[in-house]
Amino acid sequence: MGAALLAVGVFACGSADAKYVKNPALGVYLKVPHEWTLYTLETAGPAISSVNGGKALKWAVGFDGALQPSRFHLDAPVSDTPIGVVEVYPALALNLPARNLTTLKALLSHQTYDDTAQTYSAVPLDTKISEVSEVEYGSGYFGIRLKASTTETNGKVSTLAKLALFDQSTQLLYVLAAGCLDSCYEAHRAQIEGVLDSLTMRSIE
Amino acid sequence: MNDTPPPPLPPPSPPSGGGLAWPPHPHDPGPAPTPPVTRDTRKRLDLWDRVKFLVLLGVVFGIFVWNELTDNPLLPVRDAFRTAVQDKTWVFVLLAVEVLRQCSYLLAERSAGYHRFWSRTIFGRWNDRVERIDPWARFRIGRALKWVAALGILGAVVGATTGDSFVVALFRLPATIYGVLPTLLQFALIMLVSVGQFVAIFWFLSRGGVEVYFPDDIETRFDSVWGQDAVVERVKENMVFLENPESIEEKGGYVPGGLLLWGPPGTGKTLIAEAVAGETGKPFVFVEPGAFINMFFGVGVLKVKGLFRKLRKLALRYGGVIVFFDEADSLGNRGQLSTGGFMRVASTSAEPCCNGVGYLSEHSRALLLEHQLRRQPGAGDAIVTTGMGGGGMGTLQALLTELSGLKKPRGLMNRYARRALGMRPKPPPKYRIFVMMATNMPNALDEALLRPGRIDRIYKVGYPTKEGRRRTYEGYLAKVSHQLTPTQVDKLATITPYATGATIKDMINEALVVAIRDGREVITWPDILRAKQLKDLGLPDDTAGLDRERYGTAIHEACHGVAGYLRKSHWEIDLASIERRGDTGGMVAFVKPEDQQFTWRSEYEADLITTLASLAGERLFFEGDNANGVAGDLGNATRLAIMMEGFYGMGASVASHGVQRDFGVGGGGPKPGGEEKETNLLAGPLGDRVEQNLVGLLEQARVLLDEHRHLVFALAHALLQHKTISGEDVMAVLEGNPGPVVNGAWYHSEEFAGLAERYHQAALEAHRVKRAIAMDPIVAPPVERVLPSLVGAVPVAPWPDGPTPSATPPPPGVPTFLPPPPPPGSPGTNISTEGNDDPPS
Repeated sequence: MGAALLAVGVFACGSADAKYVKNPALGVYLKVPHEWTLYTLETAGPAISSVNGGKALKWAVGFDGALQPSRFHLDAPVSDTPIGVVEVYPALALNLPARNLTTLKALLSHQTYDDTAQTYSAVPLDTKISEVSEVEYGSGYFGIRLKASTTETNGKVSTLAKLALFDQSTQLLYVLAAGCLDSCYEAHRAQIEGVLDSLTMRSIE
Repeated sequence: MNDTPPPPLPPPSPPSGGGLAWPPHPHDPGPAPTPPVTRDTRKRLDLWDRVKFLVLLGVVFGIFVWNELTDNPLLPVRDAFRTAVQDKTWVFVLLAVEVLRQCSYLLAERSAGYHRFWSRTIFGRWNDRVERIDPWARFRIGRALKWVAALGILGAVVGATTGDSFVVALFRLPATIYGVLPTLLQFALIMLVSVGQFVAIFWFLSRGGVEVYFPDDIETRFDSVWGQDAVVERVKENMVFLENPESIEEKGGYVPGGLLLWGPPGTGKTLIAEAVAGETGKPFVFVEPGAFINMFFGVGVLKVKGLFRKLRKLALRYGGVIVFFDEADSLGNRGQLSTGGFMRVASTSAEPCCNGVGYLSEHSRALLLEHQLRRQPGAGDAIVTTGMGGGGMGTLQALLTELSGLKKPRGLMNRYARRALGMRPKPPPKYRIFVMMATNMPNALDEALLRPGRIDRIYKVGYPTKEGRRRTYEGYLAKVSHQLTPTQVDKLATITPYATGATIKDMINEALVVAIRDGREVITWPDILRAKQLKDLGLPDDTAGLDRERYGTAIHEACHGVAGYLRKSHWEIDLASIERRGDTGGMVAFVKPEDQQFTWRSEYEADLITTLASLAGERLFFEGDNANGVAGDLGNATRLAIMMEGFYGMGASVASHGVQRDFGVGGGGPKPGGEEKETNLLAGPLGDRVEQNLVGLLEQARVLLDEHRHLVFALAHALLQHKTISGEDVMAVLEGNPGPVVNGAWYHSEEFAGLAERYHQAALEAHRVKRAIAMDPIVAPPVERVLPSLVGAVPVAPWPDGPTPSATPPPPGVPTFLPPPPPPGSPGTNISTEGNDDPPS
């Protein structure tokens, strides 16, 4: 009995390998490196809202990979440590022109929609899109994953890995983004892209 | 030499096998007391007892891990394990505490000092201090701690749900509850409607069957109960105690809680209860017999509870209440050994005895009771019953509990509010509920129902005495117009020995119907007699039959009548008839004029002569021939003779033959429900003696009838003319007096004697050649004095002061049970001898 208890104790000692972010009600599951700090809407406020000023945000969790984490890191345009956010919006509240892959790609690449011409604008010059791919998850989730590099006004380049999904009925929009300065991204590529890779979707009851 | 002390003897083990052991003799000192075994160390725990809580906590933790795994598809087992450890720390805290506890036990099992430290120093002192606290204070402290613990758990649960600390959650709880109040109310409403349907159904079902009468609602008084004076007096006594309980309680007694009235139907049990309701100043609650017959399980229990709730309210408001359960046997019983219950309080033995078996030892009594039970027909089924009656389904048990159950505090405020405030509930007040029950099946009642404290008094409401019947007749006759004299009323009471209030009322009403049918409004004595015949015998068959057969039947019944008149002089003749009613060709009925408990040998002998007179007469008057109509008489005579010779000690044998059957030896008298044993009886010595006695008595009857041949002819021709005549007319015929209907004097005239002999010879010739009688029936002249007596209510018959016949001793040399019979006026008998014969073929 003692040996069993000891084994259990050893097995239980130490922390988990990762931090797990989940919202079963919205069907979102992902994991971030254990060293990263998580922020919720209550702890980070609007800092983690990235789309449309956080209007009608349904759920969000931000994460900061800095050794000295701060919620203000999520507000900064560029960061020298990995930061990220996962958000869920009701699609209706975003007033999207359409609910398809084009819209998602435009959304992730900072394009705007011209109602009169009914076309999307060109990708801004300071943004370079690479590694665009369509993704599909089980239970009917579909979307776009891309990597965008943006040259800031101070000349620094930040790189973000982004992923946007619609659920099967296109009622909900899921956005996951993580990145930092270009050099930082290269240094933490595995961790950053691992976060996006870990995203798992489940159907909502 | 071995100095090792012998090992201590093990403690005596209890008797094994579940068998009964003889109780210790009072003078047996028994085994020496064993000193209490003391241990220095703690008793070792079994492995399961040692690990069960650890296993339980492990299972709980495993469930948490499983929950983590199923809740997150990304989570590996190791991380799920670690997450559960971090989130459910309390499991490990409990686990650690349990491990520490088991370690402590292990130490205590091995170290006496350690065990002593905890058991005596720590817990012993703690116990001592706790024991010093008043138990009631201890209870209240414990209750307060439970409240604190409950609030803590509640706060923790709510806090875990809302993410607050348990204190914050506790303070926010009222607001939370207020917020969910609409939902709660909605839920409560749904529950109320759902449950309310059943409550309403059961409430409606549990209504009815109970009626409450308040003083002055009922006009019946004890004066209305006739013929049950003794019982009424006893019931009155109970009423006095209920009205004035201090009269007995101040002297250390208590008011009887209930009484049972039992007896044959129609004897006035319900009337007595009604009189109680009319006399008492307390409310009277009448419970109908069907009140506890229910379709659904539990409704009866609800009814009982509802009934007693009502009774308690009435008792408090009016200082007492009377509840009456009519036909209490409908309450049923729970299935039990029928050795208890009603048999405890009343003798149900069918055999006459002087004082039960009270003079015997306990063992002898038990032995006899066992044999008595075995003798019951279908004893195996009778002893153990399976519960009967409509009560059932817990109703009886509920009633027993309410009658004498736990004295519980009453009232919600008393029971819960006072207790919540730390006060003892007030004891229940003294409810004065007097329970009355009535039944004609007392053996069907449950034994527990009849125990003192529930039913303290048990009164038999039997058949009224002659005086009671006379009083009852007077009471009912007072309500109608009649011309009966006191003497006739007294006579009526005499000839209706088993009349009850109900049958008397019915007969008076029938007599009124007869009078109205004849166009009169006044009841006369013949109306009464006709009503009695109708009630006793029913309507005769409307068949004429052969004249020679009618004459044979008349001779048959006349022989019964004459023999009974001569030998059963202390009995009264009720009526005689030759009208066919089913299988009965005719009858002569006698009634005993007075209540008598025991029957003497001389009276049995007179009964036998009267019974055998039919055979003796037919052989005497029909040249040795007889009809098969005597079969019933012979069977009755044989049974009676066997009982006299083999059971009642009235013959040569002293030992009772009935005992043989108890031991399964065979023989021993007639078996209930079967006659196969009679063959054996009659084939043995007992049968020889019985046959000898019956032959002797038959000869006595023949001599008797031969000497009174004229009386037989007189009665036979009176029966032929009138078919059914009352006892008064029979006596008039036999004694030569004018009767109410029949001119008895004429039957003693020379004219009749000649006619009768001629008619008999004609009948004999018709009997020989099997043809009609070649002579017209003899018709007596009407009684001239009868009519004035009927309308003027003048007793015309010399009853009961008329001449009594003299007994005729048997001729010398005739075997008999007894020396010559005693003179008239000796004690009567209990058994009515009737010529209940098969029709002559």
